[in-house]
Amino acid sequence: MNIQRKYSLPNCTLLLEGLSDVTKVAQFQELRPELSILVNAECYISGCNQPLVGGREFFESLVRTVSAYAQEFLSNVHNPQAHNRESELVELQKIDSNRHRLIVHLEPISAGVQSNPHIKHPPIQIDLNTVQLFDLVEAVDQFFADTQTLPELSLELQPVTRRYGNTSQAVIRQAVPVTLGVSSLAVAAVAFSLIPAPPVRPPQPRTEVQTNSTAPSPPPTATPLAAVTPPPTATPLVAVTPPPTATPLASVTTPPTATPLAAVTPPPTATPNATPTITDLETLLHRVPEITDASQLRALNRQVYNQIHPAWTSRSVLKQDLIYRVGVAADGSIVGYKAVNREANQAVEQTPLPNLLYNPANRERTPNEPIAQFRVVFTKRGILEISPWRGYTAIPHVLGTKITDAHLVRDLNQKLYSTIRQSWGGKPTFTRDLKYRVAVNKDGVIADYEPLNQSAFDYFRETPLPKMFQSVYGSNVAAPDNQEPLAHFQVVFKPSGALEVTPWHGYQ
Amino acid sequence: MNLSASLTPFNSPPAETLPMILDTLPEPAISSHGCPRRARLQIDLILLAIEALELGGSEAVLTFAQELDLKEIIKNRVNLWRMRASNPLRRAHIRRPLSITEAKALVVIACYLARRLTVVIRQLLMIAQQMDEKQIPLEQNLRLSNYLERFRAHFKSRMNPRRSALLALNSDEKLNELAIHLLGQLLFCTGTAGMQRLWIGLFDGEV
Repeated sequence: MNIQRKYSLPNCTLLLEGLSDVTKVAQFQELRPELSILVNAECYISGCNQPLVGGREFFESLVRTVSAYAQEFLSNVHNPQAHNRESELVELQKIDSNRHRLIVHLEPISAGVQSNPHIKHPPIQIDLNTVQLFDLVEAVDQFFADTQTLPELSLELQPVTRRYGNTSQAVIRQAVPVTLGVSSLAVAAVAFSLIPAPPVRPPQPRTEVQTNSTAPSPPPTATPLAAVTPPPTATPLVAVTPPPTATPLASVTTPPTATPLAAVTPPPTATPNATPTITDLETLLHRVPEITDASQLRALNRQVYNQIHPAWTSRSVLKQDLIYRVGVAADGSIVGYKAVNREANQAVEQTPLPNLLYNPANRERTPNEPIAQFRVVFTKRGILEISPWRGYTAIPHVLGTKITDAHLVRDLNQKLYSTIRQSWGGKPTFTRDLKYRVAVNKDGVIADYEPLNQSAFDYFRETPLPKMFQSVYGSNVAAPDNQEPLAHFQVVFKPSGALEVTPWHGYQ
Repeated sequence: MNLSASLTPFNSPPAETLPMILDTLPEPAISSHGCPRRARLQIDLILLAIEALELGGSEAVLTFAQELDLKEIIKNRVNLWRMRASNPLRRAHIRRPLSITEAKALVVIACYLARRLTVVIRQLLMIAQQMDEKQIPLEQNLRLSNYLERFRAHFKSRMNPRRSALLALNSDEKLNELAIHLLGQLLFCTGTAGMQRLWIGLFDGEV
């Protein structure tokens, strides 16, 4: 049985494909079978067109090196494991305190394919900034924490032995460029890696901050039928994982028993996969309270949309509308789903739902966590519709504290207008108003935006909003920051090119 | 009767048991009793960076000590101050060892505080990165300059400039670099295994 595991962060996605050991599977019919044989590993890094791809040797080397380099970054003590050119396919070099060079020596291709077996591939080099490096480390750590994927590989941290340790003043010294030993080693290593380079250049990393050029899934096979939807290739990286802030404080909570575990693709038939999920959602709903507050539902509705929309790539293959009832925890993670119509049951693999089920390794769940239910419809025209299962009981309000000072609101209003005005130009292709709710903090930095009408959903890429949001949060689908007081505005982009920004007066 | 007697330990664990949360951090295989010099320095600097990010950061340390059941180890403000003054670079350096347990408690709290600040940390790092690429001085960003200014002020008021280790940090620019580097380290503390990584790293080169 083919199994996929995905660990996604805003700047890095690790995708593992493999098989489970047949003898073990026979013994335990697990919902989330163990990936015990790794076939293929892919690592997508934002700003880099090509994923790093390899087999088990590459992957093991990657996790060893990344883990060792993370330790070096935290302690400022040279960690030999991170720079082992002789025996590792992957190495990491420090360029300065905010730039880190990931070097991958490709596995030799079998002689049959290669016309001249003596040609050595030049190593691939990718320069990461600290945030990108962290996302890579975090993806690796989430893999380590996942006991159902290659359980024999686990996080083993050991202090570097004294032999390698620098003087005890390393912390301070690093503030002055780099300790001399490390930097000269790095220079030597970089210089050495350039010597055998033949004219064929490795894919050069692009330096823009733009993070969404790499889609974690293979490009869709066909473009959507309905021209109104933005092309799937343009959608940002799926950030299924909530930011680490969401981790609950108590790290000793026992894992819940009733939560479903499944990220299996593709099982022999769709039915056995759907069955456990059905029971799980139902059991779950019997045991836990349901979220019914209209405002919270509205916020969750968006989070669910933001998860599913970019992940739904093959939009034109559906013959029928697929309808699901989806259970969502308060942090927006999808904890269960149930097919509502028969087609939905059979075609669940054509939706991104199985892949979006929360990964239990990412965070621990509190038992009896309340759940919200949504009706999720994948229409055959390629449109995604999400609404609360029981509708809204009241008019929803925007959650969180608000900035009320009239002067400040007026200032922010002007500031927001000029920020958007400056970055919005060109001739609009849409023919109807695009209406958004946009929230900013007291400094005028965008904290959240929400499309209010259908054309706003369809043409959001024409507005500067996703870029503004992404430049602050690293991803276009990051959970909005609502810890500080915000000022909310209604922003209307008109087909004439006019822009309107007015204080928010609630949902209509 | 015997049964009820044997149950007692479960209901009231003996007072000397350490909070369970500290068990996630392994005992380092070091010979000396207290923490090595670099560990004491690093813990204090990490906390200093948190204080520069968040007003009232040192109060938050005490609040979290309470919440995480570490009150037995970090009892009060004076106690916390004495632990941090074990940093050899402090003006008010106290020749007192920092025990492994105390260090663990501080690391746990620092990581919880960092997690709470994840969004801010990420944003500031992204801003710093972008300004760096565009060759704009970091001070031109209001939020970043607030952080850097506060960090420099804390650092200058608390560290002893006559220490030879600090002679290299003689300019605002170098302190800024240190502040940004600490920000990156704080980001790493927020991760799934961040706490363990920070902890193990404290003993690099010491075993």
